Amino acid sequence: MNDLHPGKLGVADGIALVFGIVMPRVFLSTISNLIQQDGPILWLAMVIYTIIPLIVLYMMAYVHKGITGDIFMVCQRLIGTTGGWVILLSYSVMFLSNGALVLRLYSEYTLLTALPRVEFQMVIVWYAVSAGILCYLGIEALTRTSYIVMPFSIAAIGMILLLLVPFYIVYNLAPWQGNGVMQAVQTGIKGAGYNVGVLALVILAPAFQNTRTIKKAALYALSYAGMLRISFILVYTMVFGNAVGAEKTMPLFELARLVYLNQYLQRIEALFIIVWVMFGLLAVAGSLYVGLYLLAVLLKLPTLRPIVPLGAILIANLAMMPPDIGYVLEVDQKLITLFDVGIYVFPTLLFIMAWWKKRRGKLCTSASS
Amino acid sequence: MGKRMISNLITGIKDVLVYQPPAQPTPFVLVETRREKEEIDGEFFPSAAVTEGIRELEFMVNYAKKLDAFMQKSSKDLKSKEKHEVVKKIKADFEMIQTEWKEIKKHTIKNHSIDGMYNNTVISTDINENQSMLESIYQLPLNKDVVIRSITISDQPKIKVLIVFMDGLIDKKIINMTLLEPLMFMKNIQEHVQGEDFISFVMEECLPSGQASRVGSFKEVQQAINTGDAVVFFDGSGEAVAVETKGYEHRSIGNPTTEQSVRGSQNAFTEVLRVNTALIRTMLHASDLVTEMLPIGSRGHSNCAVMYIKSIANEELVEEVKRRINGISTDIITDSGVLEHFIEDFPRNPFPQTLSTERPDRVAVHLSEGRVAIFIDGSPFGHILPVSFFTLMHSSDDFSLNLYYTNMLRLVRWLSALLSLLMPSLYLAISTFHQEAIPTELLLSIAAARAQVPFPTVVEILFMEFSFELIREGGLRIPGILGSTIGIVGALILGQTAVTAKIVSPIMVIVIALTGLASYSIPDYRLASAFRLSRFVFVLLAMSMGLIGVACGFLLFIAMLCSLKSFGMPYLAPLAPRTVNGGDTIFRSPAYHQKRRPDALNTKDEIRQKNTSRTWMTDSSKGGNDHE
Repeated sequence: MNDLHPGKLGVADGIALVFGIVMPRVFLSTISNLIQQDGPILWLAMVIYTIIPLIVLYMMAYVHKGITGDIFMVCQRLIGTTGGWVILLSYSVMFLSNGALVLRLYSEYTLLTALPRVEFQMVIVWYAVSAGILCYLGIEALTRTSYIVMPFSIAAIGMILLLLVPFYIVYNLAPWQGNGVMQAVQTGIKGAGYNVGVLALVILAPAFQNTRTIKKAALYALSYAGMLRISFILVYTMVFGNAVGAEKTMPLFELARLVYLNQYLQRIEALFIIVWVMFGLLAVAGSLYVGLYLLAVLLKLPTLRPIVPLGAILIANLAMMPPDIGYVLEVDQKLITLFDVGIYVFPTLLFIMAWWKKRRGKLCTSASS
Repeated sequence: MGKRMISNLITGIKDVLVYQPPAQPTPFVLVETRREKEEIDGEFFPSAAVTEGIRELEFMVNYAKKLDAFMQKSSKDLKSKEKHEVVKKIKADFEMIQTEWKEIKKHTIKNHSIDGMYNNTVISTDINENQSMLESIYQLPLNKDVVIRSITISDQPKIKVLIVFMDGLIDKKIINMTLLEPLMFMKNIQEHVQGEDFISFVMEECLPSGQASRVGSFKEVQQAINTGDAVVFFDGSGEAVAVETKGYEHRSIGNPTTEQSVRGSQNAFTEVLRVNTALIRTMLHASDLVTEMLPIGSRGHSNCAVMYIKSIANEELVEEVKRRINGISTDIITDSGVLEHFIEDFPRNPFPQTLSTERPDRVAVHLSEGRVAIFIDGSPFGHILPVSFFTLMHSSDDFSLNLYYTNMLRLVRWLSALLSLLMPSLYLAISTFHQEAIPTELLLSIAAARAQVPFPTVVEILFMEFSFELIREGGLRIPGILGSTIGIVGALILGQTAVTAKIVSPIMVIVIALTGLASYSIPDYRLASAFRLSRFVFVLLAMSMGLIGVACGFLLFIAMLCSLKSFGMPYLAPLAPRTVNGGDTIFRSPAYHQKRRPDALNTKDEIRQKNTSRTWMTDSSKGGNDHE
């Protein structure tokens, strides 16, 4: 059996894969940046940029439906070999850069929160090696691990949000329109690229049972991620408000620090690190795997495993390139444009080509009769 | 032309640079649909035996040609009438051929000893040859264990018979009454003297033994003799009869020593294979409970029993188990643990991929779920496969105790497993890197306790863990009378003294003691050992990177478990991959709700019981008011 398509992944595996790739943003400073732009109506942006990738995925599922084979064969058939190479290389770059970015951000936040005296490169290498091992074990192990860890992680986040009930100030949600509904819509449209990880389902389509599995997995994964993000944003806004919330670099960590029940249940952010690290590792490993998978498909490699260490070294070096955290956050803002191309441009192009070819196919049939 | 050259060049470079994985057979996966199996390349023969075998065949062919030529010539000469000279010449030619045959025989006997045990030799029709073969195999007369009893069946014509058995393994009364007596008093055998019919006649009409079988090769002969059967050779017959005469001393059925239970059966397996299979049959009276015997070990000739319920167990699974056992090429296997190393998917992984048990009730339950059990002669442990991680956390009491208590115990077991794995590393990580997570008063108490200890926390942990392992290992080997001494020495003196001497802090003793107790609550000994090993890795990770290290380690630990398979079944089924829960994974549902067999086993019959398994609830009772 082809090592690149190891088995038949199911809905649960798909949910775990997508959730693992798209969710860790909630731990990073993305929320702080966005709340500055939109205000209390940021939740609407979240809804929009949950729905748009779902529509895009359904478009890609339609594209994949009539054509058997992997993503390269699909692109090759619709837009030719060169077009296929361009698209796959672009997606590979997107996923690898997402992996490198998340790796760098997590390493920075590790130094800030947990291990201030550890050498920076050591943290990067540590995460890269761990992600590399996860990738090496294969997509089945990766998705199943994510699936096992997911409920506990969600429960942990939910617990933190609930433990902060004494700190809720509902008035912080006002004015509910924030900086404007259209602003939120724009943010949502621009921010759809944050969920580019959903396309991993289409990229790894041969590893899944069928198209229905992919659609179901995408729906559930984005829904869970969306609900969690929206809940988080609402709680974050209620606890900190706009002005203070925009200053925090690690929103969820800051929320965790506030938790105080009694002298025995306080300062639980240290324990929260376990959840946070697992999320980050799964995101890096998932992005790395998809990026390397695309390269393997392009180069027609029989197996993925030998290039996993190379990929880990690649993203580790990429992650070490920016000089400081400020530059990293700037790169994060700019990369979203690249991800938007992956969400809007390529799927639309492929959808149009697929629709056109199917339509042409029908016309030819009726003409011949 | 140019394009073709370029593409050829690129292909050539790619062939050189790109890693090509080695061609391996597809690993066995227990799947729902039938798949075509890849053909395995031909059998393995040692090259020396192949060469010698070819040579031997050449000798035989040449000899056969010469014999044929001799027969033709003799026949022709005898037809001419010069009898005296002809007879003399024929005699001389025959003597020459006989001498040649003796040389070939010596050579072939020498060749058949390449594997050391004459496994390829067939039984000869000449009883003297069989006797000399047996003497070579069993190092007679040096070896006093093997007895060769030569008798003559008194009838016309007299037939020499050899009875061979291993003293100490047989029951002498059975030998005397079921072999010697009937054979010596055998009559009216003139019409059955030669050929195959003779063996059938003896087996069907002369030997009153309950079990008798034909054997045609010395491999089968050795197997029979070495396991306690007696083999009877008849002069003029190319087959022998193996008769069941086992009667060696063995331990009686006792209580389980490693899997004690409050309720449930108190029987345990013994070292005798047939006793073990019989114990299972006393619990599981299924007619299609099949016991297949597979010999393993070219020298040891141990018997391995593979048990399964034919109408339930997945056929591919059974075939795979048999394929793996038959594919073992080794001298001797004495223990089921050694056998496990040969057949499991990941022998280098410390986590067990089979369930080793000494309880027949557990085996019976797992057989009824569709699993396969294997036993080996000489080992009081049976192995059940395939198993998941969750199966290894079940204990035998779970089946017979109250549901709520069972589930409470299971929860305790799971928490203990986590504690056993993570407690020292979490303590190390939090006390070294993340002190803010500890409540202030406790933190001050720990700091005060550790103030005078000169070693870092990780050294304390490693020292105490090592001491604990020493006590445990010593406790296993210490004679029974002194058993309590090790408890006093280890627990009180070492622990107390170490704290008084400020080598370790008191809280460290508590942590290690709790961890040790937690590891003993894991039902499977090998799983507990794997957790103990993993604990050291977590301690090192915690020492390096605190909670980050522990989190990364735990994630990789789960990923490793997810990637494991037990005979094609994922190790974390039915959790990952998500399959139908049979009602007994982490927590146990009532027995009347467990309608399906474990989905991951892909059994032939998935339904264990009907939706309403307690039909008495729907039927009206005879003694009630609604009785007509």
